[in-house]
Amino acid sequence: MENELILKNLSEARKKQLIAMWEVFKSNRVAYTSLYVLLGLIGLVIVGLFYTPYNPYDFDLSRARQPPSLKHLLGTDELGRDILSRLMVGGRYTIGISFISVLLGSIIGSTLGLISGFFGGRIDTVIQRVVDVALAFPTVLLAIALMVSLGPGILSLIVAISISTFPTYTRLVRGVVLQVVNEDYIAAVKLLGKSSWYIMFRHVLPNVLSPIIVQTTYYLGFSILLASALGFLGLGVPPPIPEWGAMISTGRVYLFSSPHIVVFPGLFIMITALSFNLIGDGLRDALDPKSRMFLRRF
Amino acid sequence: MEKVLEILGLRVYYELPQGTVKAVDGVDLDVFKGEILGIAGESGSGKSTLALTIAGLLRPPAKVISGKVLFRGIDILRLSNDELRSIRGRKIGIIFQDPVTYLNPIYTVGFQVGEVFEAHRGGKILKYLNEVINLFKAVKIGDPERRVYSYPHQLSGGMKQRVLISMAIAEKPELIVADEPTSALDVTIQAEIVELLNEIRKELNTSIVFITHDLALLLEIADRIAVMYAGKLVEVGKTYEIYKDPLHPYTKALISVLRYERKRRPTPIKGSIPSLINPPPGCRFHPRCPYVLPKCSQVDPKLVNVNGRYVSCLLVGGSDGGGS
Repeated sequence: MENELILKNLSEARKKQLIAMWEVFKSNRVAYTSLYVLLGLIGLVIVGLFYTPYNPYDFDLSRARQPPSLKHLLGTDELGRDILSRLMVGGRYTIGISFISVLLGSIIGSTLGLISGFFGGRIDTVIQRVVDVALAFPTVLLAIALMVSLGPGILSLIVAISISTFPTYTRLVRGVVLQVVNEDYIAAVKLLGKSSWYIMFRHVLPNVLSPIIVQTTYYLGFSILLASALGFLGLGVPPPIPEWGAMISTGRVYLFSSPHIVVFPGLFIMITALSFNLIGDGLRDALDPKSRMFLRRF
Repeated sequence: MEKVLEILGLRVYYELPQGTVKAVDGVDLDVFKGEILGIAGESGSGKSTLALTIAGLLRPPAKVISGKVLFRGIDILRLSNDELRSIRGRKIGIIFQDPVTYLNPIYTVGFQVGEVFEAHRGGKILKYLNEVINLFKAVKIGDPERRVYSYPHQLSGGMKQRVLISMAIAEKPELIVADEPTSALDVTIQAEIVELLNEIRKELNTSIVFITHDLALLLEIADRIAVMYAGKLVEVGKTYEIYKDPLHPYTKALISVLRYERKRRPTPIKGSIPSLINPPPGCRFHPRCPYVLPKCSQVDPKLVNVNGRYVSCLLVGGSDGGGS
């Protein structure tokens, strides 16, 4: 009975904390709006899984390059395909690829950074030299080189983006870990006789989690740009899949005569990337316990 | 009286590139059951090193050169890490100076105190919540049912120190080593914490080694006081005896500063604490001693028993027929 009460209190304390985070996030109007813009975009892509106004692959040269109208809300492209339908279908590739690859990159990069900072010594040196090498290449160039060597395809796109994002995570996490492991409370837990892995995941990781989360939202925006850039260069998913970058690539010939073919995919890319970045700003504030305290007091 | 801790001829040196720092250089000291033993000394007198040694927390470059620290007859300096773990935190509790840095900012204080139980007894942390609440009651944290869910940043410095004290007494230790537990707190909170330690001592019949640079504070709570100077004990005795009639010139100077506080100007001790890499020969206090004799720079005085007190001074020991 008493234990139930305690459990209830505990879950209430956690709930309170989440609500406080949400309040701080909400108080950042720009981030809050961006969240809804992004949710709307993702909603559109999810709808695209089941329904599109037109078949995105159906071409009909008789209605090619039509400007936006009631019939085709965002117009048609150079082969007469409905741009809205194509964007709705292409989003799942652009957003999906960037999500999965950043997730992969952050998990690999953070784990390496955690190990590197926590254990130090020879492991640290080896990991850091690998990161040095990876960071020596410009990110886009590295991704292009990887794409060329791996060959086109969704899987190699994911691998290429994860490999070009993980070194930053390793550096970032290692830096924060080095600060945290020297704190007295880590020494105190060590004295209790806990194992290194317990300390690493239970006490160090949660302390470095907020920079990881913030970095991830920034990288989601960046990887959308990277995926689009690779698609634009023809290194992304093979045609006729309407990946957003590839859509810009094929439409660029008509930039002056029918700008809508390029502008709408470009807008979608820009809005998605921008939303992720702005949400990242809001999250950074919300995840800082000090700003929560600040809010509660006033 | 029953001895809880016995320190015999302890020498702890720090091996640094600049030379060997003789932080603790031949200390003999007993701690009896249920007493508060105060260790007083200036910064750099080796008192914190002594505390860390007792708690089994020495880290390189610190090195025990010789001596024994017998806890209940077991030399804790010879124990392996696993054996040490069964004593440290269970039989010997530790309270540190700065309560802020010893709490993880992302977990509730209740969780962190529960973790101490979990580490010693196993099981889930949540299982120990009732015990944690009881502990919080014992250290007089108001509204303990709610405070266990507080994060460290929501608590004041005094509260955090209470949380750390609750961790130290979780397993009802026989000995508590408190290394400057009140130095980071303001004076009113200091008094409360000292009072709390005194109550814990009475309730659990624990011995407390209370280390501080604040001699006035020790006069309030300690049963006995050991005064350290440059890695050596200069005087050990009952608190009121030391206050009434300090024997060693260094203790005399310290007490006179406290006594003459109301007059315009206390007499300072001239000079400063010597380097522990090259301590002065003979008595380490002789360059600053107002009663210095020629032989003081040649003979290193030993701690001798003078009417139930221990003093290391040629002046005092000599008058009693003891000496070097």
